[in-house]
This record gives sequence, structure tokens and C-alpha cells, in this order.
Amino acid sequence: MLRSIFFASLLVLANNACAQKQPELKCDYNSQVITNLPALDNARITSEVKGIDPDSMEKTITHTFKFNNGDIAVVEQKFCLMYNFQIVYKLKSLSQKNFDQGLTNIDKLIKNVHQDYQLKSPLNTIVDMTMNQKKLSLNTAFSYDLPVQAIISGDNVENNFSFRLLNNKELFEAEIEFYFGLGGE
Amino acid sequence: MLKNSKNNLASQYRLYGKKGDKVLKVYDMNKSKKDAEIIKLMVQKIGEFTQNGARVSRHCVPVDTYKKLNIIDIGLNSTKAVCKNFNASKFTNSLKSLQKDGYIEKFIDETGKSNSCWHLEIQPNKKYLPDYSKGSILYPVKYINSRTQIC
Repeated sequence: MLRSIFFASLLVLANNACAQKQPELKCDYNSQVITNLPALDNARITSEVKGIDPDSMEKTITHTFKFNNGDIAVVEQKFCLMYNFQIVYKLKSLSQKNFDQGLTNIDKLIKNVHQDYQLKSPLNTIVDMTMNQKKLSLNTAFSYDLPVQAIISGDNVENNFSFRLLNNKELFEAEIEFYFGLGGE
Repeated sequence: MLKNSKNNLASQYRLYGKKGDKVLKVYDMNKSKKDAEIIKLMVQKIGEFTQNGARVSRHCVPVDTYKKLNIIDIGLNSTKAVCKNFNASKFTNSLKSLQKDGYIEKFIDETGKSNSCWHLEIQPNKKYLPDYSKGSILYPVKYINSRTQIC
């Protein structure tokens, strides 16, 4: 009888040990992230999903914005040792005017996360200037890092701007991807 | 990067940004191969970014680029380990002073973060370095322990 109680106790202890949570990661950015992003005057939030990145185990929070003109922006904030901000912005219809409007919308979303990252000029001015310098057009895909001189931050910054035309033009004609990362290596 | 990835790949994904993650993905997809082959593939990926004027890390640059801008991290713990009576905040102030004087291009105090280091970017020979006078680059050691020595 005593022996069976002893083994039963051991089993309970073992189960408790297995049920214990993984230790919390030590993260620099956990307390600095705004998880409730506000809606914009020309867009509404259609979804908000919290998750864990399977590769890094960093926390993620993803908001989807639907704009009045039919454009969609998926904003992902991923954070722990670094703060990663990524927008995938889908243009319903591609024109210079809509592209500029998309960049203005991205600008608003960047400001709404209140991180130590500030552009010295509006995003469409910086993109227009750098596209001219690199002789790029909206007819082909491109990807480049925004110049460090265009950014104000007290942290290590990595950032990237990409554009590509989409094959399925019935849904969206083109896609802009904007990324900035703070901290890290 | 390869050594650290073998040790703890998830922590490397946390440490690098978007481009670094793509290099780590190359490691992840090829980790059963020999080291030399993995390194070749990772370097190839880094080269793709470099060709487009992008960097995987501020520390990961070709030698010619590094000669124009030295980018170093000074570890807080390793500095403490060799320095008796070391005062981190005084050292931080001296680095700030050097940045203000134009000896350091960019300074980031990451001692309060997990990196636990001072990140410095220095353009070599940008400014003349007078020795041991009031105008010397060594003058900011006054912030450290009031003597002309660091430790």
C-alpha cells in the first residue's frame, strides 16, 4: 500500500514537472510595444492576432488594416531582443498616385507604434528621392535599404523597402513591403 | 554566426533582423552538410545583400568598408573583468564626450540591454589625436577615476 502511494506521488511530481511552463525569455522590448494600435481615419482594423514566431520564439502581434480605397496593410510587430516592424501593403490598383497614398498610409502606421525610429522626411519623399537615385520605376520589382541619413534613432537600425508587381491582378496589383528593426546585432 | 547557430539557433533568430534571419535560414536548410559548405552558402547569401547595398549586420562588412568605418562592441562584463574599480557610467560619459567632440561617429549605450555592451562607430583618422594634453582624446578619462588611467 505504502509503496503504491510512493509511486503515485512520484508520478504526480513528474507530471507537474512536465506541465511547468518554459522559462520566460529575457526580452528588452516586451514592455515597450504598443499592442493596441489605433484605427486610422481612412482605415479600419479587421483583425488582431497575437502569436509566437516558430523560429525565434519571439512574441508577435499582427494587425490587418483595410483602407477605404480597397488597399490592405498587414502590420507585424515581432519583439524580444530586437523590435521588428514589418508592413506588407497591398495596392488594389497601381498608379503613381495610389503608390504615394500607400506610402503616406505606411508613414501613419510607423508613427502609431511610437518606437525610437523617426524618418526625417515623409516616406514618399524619401522613396521618391532614392528611386530616382537608383533609377527605379514601378514597372519592375526592387528592394533596397533606406539611407541611414534619412532616419533618426538612438538605436541600431536595420531597414528595408521593397516593391513588386503581383500576378493575381484581380485581387491586388502590387505590394509594398516596409521593414525596420531596432537593436540586435 | 555558424558556431552560434549550432549552439542555439532560436537565440540567433532573436538577435538578427530580417536579413540576418534569411542567412540563418540558409544554415537551417543546410545544417546536415559539412561546415565548409554551409559557410560558403551563408557567405553567398550575405554577398547577395551586400551587392544590393544592404547589410546583414553593422559588423558584417567587407574589409574595405571596415577600413572607412570601424564598428566595434565593447563588452561591459569583459571590461569589468580586467578593470579594478571600474565605473561603467563614468566610462559611458567619456564615450558620450568623445562623440560630442567628433571622435566617435555613432555611440549606442547598450549596457542596460541583453547585449550588455557599448556600440561604437569610428571613422579612422577623421580627427587629429593630440597626446596627454587638455585637448587630448584621452582627456575624458577624467570621467572615469580622476586620473589619467582607466583601471
